Amino acid sequence: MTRVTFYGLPAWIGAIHGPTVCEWWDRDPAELGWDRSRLRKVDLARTSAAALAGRIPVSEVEVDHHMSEGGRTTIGPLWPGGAEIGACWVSERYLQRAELPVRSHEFQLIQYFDGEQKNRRFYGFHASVLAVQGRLSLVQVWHPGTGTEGAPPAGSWWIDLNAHADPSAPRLSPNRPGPVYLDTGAVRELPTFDPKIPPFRGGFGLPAQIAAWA
Amino acid sequence: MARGKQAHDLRVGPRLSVISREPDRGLARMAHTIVPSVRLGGLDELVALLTELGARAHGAAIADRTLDLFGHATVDGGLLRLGRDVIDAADPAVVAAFGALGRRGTLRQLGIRAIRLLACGTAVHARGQATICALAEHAGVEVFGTRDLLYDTHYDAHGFCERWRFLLISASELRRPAAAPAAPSGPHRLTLAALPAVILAGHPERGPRRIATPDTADRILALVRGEAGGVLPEPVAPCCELALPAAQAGAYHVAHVVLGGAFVQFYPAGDAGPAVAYPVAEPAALQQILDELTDPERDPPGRCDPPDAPSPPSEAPLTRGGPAGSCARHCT
Repeated sequence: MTRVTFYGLPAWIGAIHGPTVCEWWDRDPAELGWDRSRLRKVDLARTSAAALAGRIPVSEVEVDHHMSEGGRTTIGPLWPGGAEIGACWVSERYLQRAELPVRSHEFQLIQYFDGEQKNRRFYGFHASVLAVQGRLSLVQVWHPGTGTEGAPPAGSWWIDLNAHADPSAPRLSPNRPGPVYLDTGAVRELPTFDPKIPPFRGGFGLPAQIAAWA
Repeated sequence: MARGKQAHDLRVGPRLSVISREPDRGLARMAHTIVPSVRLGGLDELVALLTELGARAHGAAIADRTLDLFGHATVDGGLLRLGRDVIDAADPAVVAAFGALGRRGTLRQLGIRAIRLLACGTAVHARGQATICALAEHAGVEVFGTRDLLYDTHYDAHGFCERWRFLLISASELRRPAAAPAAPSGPHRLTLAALPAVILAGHPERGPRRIATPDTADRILALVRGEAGGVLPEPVAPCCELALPAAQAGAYHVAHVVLGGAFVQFYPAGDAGPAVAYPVAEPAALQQILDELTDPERDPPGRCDPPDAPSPPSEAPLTRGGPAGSCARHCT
C-alpha cells in the first residue's frame, strides 16, 4: 500500500523559476535576514494529484495539490499570478530531503495511492473520544492547529471511526485527547478549518472544495 | 452582431467568448487570438446575440458551457466594461437584462451554466462582489469574478485557460459566511427545561408522533444519556417523533428517535437549528415505551411497531438507515 504523509508548512516565495517551479522559505524571510541559502526549491506541478493521474511516479511527489483543485497547498499554483505567501504541504520525502521540521498531527495529511485505501485522504486532527454508542463514537474535535494549544474544541460529533478514520493510525483511547486522521467524507460534515499557515493568515473550510464551473 | 458561420460557431464549445468592443489594442489582439469570439459594444448587443443564438438552438441538446465576458474593469469598483456599458448591479437595466436572460430560458437554451466576468479584479471590490452575487441571483446561474490582474497569459485560442481558474471566485463562495456556524465546544448536556416548547397543533410532524405523559417522559429521559450529546454529521430520517410535556400547559418539547432507537435527537436552538443526538442506554426499553404510546386508532399497523428481532446498539451505523426491524423501517 503506497501512501504519502504531507506536512503543512508556511511558505514565503523567494524566487520564481517558471510557472510552477520556485524557491521558498519556511519562515518569514525578515526573521532570517533574507538569507537566500535557506531557500528550498520545489516544483508545484509534482503533486499528489499528478501522481494519482499517472503523470509522475509517487516517489516524485513533492507537494499536495493546490486548494483550487481540492488540495491544501495555497502558494502558487502558477506564476505569474500565483500566491507568494501561504501554505506548502510537502511530502515526507521532500521534508526529509530539505531538512525541514516535522510538524504535529494537526498539520498532517495522509494520501493513499493504491491498495484498499486507494485515493483516500485523511486529515489530521486533535480529538478525544467521549462516549461510544454502537459503532458511533462521540468525538470531540479541535480545529486543526489549535488542539494542542489549549483552545476550546470545535465541537462534538458522532462519528463511525471504523469507517472514517485512517485504519493504519493508532486508535484513540477514551477520554485521552490525541491524534486522529479523518477521511474526506467525515471532514466534509464537520465545520472545521484548515490550520492558519502562516499563523497570521485566515483558514479555509475543510476540505477545500473545487469550485464547480470555475 | 454575429452572423452566419461565426454565429454557428459561437453555439458550440465549452466557452462562449465575448470581448468588449472599444478602441483598445489589447482587446483587439484578444479577439484575434480567441476563435470563435465576438466583440460587442454594449449590453443590448449581448442580449440580442444570446437571444438570436438561443432561437437558432431549436432546443437541441447543448453541452454545458460558460459565457465569458472579456474587457477592462473600472478603476473604482472593479466593474467589467462591455463596450459602452458597465456591468454594475446598481444599474437596474443591467439587473433586468441578466434577469430576463435567465427567466426566458435563453441561458439554458445555450447550455450556459456560468457567467465569468473576465477583467482585472472584478471580484476584489465590494461593488464588484455585489454585482457578481446579484447577477447570479437574477440570471439563475453561477457567476465568477477575478481576484487578480488578467493579461494575455491567461487566454489562448480557446479562450480563458482553465489552468488559471484559481484566479476566479464564484458568487457562491462570496456568499459563504466567513465562518461555519460554531458548534458548542464541549459535549452537549441535555436540560429539558431549556429546550424550546411548541404547541403541537400546526407544528409539522416528522414521523409518527408519540405524545408522552409526564410519567412516560420521565421513563424515556431516564434512558437517554443526557451528558453525551453530539451532532450526527449526516442528517438521518426520524423513526418517530416524541412530544414530551413542557412546563407550560399544552406545550411540548419535540424530539426524534433516530437510527433504530439508538439515539434521540433534540433541538436546543429550535427546528431550524442543529439537532443534537443523545445515545439511548437501552434502545429496546425505549421501543417498549414507544409501543405503549402508540395509538392503534391513529397509527397504522407496522409503523414503529415492536422489533421482530431487537438489534443491539452496536448495529447502529452512521449512514442513513438503522438496524432491521422496529423504527429502523422508517429510517431512510
